[in-house]
Amino acid sequence: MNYGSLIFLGVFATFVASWWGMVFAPQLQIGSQQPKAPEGVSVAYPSVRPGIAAQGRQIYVSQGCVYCHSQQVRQEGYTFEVLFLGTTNQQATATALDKLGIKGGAQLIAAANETSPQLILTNVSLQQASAAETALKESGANASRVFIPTGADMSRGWGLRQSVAQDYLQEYPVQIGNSRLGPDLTNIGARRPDAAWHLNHLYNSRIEVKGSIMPAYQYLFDKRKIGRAPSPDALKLPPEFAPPAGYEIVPKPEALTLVAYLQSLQTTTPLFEAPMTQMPQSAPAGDTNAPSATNAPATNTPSK
Amino acid sequence: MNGSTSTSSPAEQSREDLVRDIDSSTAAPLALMFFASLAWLVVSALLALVASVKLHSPTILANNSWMTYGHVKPAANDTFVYGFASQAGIAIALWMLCRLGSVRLFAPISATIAALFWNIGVALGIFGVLGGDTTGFEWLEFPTYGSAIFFASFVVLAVIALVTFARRSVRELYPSQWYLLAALLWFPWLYTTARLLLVWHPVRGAMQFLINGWFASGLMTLWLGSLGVAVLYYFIPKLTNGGQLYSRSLATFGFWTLAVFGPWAANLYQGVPLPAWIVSVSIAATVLTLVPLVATAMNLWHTRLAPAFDCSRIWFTTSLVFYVIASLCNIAIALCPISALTVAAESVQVITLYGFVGFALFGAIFHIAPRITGADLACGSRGKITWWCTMLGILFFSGAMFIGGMAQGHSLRDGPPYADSAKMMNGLKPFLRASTFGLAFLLIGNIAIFGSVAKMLRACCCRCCCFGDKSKNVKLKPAGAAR
Repeated sequence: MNYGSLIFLGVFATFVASWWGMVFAPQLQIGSQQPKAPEGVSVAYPSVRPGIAAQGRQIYVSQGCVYCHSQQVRQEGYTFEVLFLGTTNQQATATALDKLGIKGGAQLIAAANETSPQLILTNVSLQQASAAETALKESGANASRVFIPTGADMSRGWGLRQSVAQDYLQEYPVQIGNSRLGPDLTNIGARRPDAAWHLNHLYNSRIEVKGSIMPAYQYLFDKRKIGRAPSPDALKLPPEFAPPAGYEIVPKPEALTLVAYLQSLQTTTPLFEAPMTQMPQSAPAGDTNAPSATNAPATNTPSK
Repeated sequence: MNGSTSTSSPAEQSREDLVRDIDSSTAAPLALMFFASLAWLVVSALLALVASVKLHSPTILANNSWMTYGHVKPAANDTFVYGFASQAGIAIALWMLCRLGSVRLFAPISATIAALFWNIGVALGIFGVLGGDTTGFEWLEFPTYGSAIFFASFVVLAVIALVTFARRSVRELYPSQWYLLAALLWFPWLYTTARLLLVWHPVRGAMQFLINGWFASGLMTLWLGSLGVAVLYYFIPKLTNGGQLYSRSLATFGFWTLAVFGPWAANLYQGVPLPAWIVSVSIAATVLTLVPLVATAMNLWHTRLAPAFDCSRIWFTTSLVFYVIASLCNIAIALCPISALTVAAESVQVITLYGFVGFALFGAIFHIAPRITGADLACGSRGKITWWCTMLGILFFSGAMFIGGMAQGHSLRDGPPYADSAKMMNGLKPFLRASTFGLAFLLIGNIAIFGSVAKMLRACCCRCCCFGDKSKNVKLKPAGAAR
């Protein structure tokens, strides 16, 4: 260890190895990903954000939102559910249902045949779900097993499925984030589609969320004298936050584009590597607007 | 490495002259870099304090875009890393390479000019970040105009360090030199890879997150961590054991295991949107850094024979202890999913940056600054204030943030639904207040060390000795043997 060149070479070699492993190999695997249409959908995913939302992303980046807000939904586990979609052989299916330990076979069959798919097993393993599916199919019934991602983020309503590399292909700079001092924003556009809510919240987050610690972004708004008629863009503020009489608060373009970006944030497209088959749990009204599953897949579970 | 003796035989006398000559060759660039880096340290603590206050009192300094949390927080981090730690670290590296190689610093005037530009680059970068002109990547926020000037200055200083190293008159290498050489290779590589693939020619999608994490991890363990370990390897034997290292083979082992495992870590945790194998490799590498940690820490711990708690040595003992704590916490956080995305990461960051790297650099500055300025070697009260305040600051801040982070992790997992996230944050407020308290202590400690070094430099400049060859005429204190 008395030769500088030896140390240099050794360090060089070990570092090159890690560079190949942690930079080059991942780049080969996920760096070459392209937007592609998921099964049964004709539009490639992810699509480019509309111009105004892309401008808003620059505001999001420059305001440093990433230091408190992540954009990643994390999955911790999964379970399966089995859906029963009707049968052609009621006798055999009733027996099969009975064997599976599911009570009320006759009503289930009637309901499934007449109205809607019936959820017959929840929170089961892949083996159990497959066995039930096979048994029902052998009895002449139509049944399918459904993949349900689980985790704290899903139960909190932050997303329906986990985020995967594919979701970020159109993002630059990627704002995945390492801190959750505020809520995750992966699906904020689905949770909070209302622009007026976002504008008020940016102007002073305490208007909309009591006790919020988010900074007020009042410098993204203009306070100005009301002219001949109030501006249609002016914020509708509760009295304790409102400007003095004769004045109004109007969002600057930065605030408007930022809100457009926030509204555009939603990952509601199921992917092969991140299946998503559960309809959103209905959330308390007014607090969390449940994600609107616009691209809902074919196998939505019925409301429970 | 031989300890200095009080006898002044002709040989000893010429040795002391040589040492003084070496020290004086580094005086100009080091004086500038110490002063500037400690000034950045104070700025960094101020910004961190503002950011911390905002987390529990969001109405303070609210309506100013320069002072919004998303600007102040990254500015505080970057000021610490690029303004203080990297700058002070490379200054100390230059000094150690001169002393260990028994050689005068190569091109001190160029080094001084490079240091000047370094600070211009950092100032522009911080200005950009506070103004909202950021790249959007953690630890790499500097806009191009800041980062280009900063990095060009780094390259000049690194070349000067390598030329000085090549011209050394003592050919035998010491572990500190291994770490410095490696760090001088690692940092530019990490930095150019990250800037190239994130800013100039961006890679797609989640790859950016991976490279950002890989850079952040390398910045801590390979660049600042190596500087810290190099300082510990230099000063602990020198000050406590007459220059004798416990085991050179253990040092070799620790160095090469760090070189093999360290660069694979990428600050990832379970659940990030990347292929699972990448996350696993990163976590495994983080856990494997336990091997170099144990080797290095054991080696240094066994080296420390003399009582290690007097005012010049305690910095390094403290730093060694925090090196162990920081590395263990880092491993714990990589393994423990509950801490992901919480403020617990900030606690580990402060233990690493202030506890391990900070204490090592403070100790080295308190050792070197009197030798280049000719100031009194005795420990001042400011040193004590720095030690105590930094210690209390770290304990308050990281204690609060670690416990708070775990509580936050639990409420993120099992806590109230999204609708109540404000309630969840309010549960965190006592911890955030305690962390502000800790940062206030850190600020006082930083002001104390800045004041101490500024006073030495002022006294030195008043004697008109800070520039060029005139410094030779000043009678410097005996400074120990060359190595």
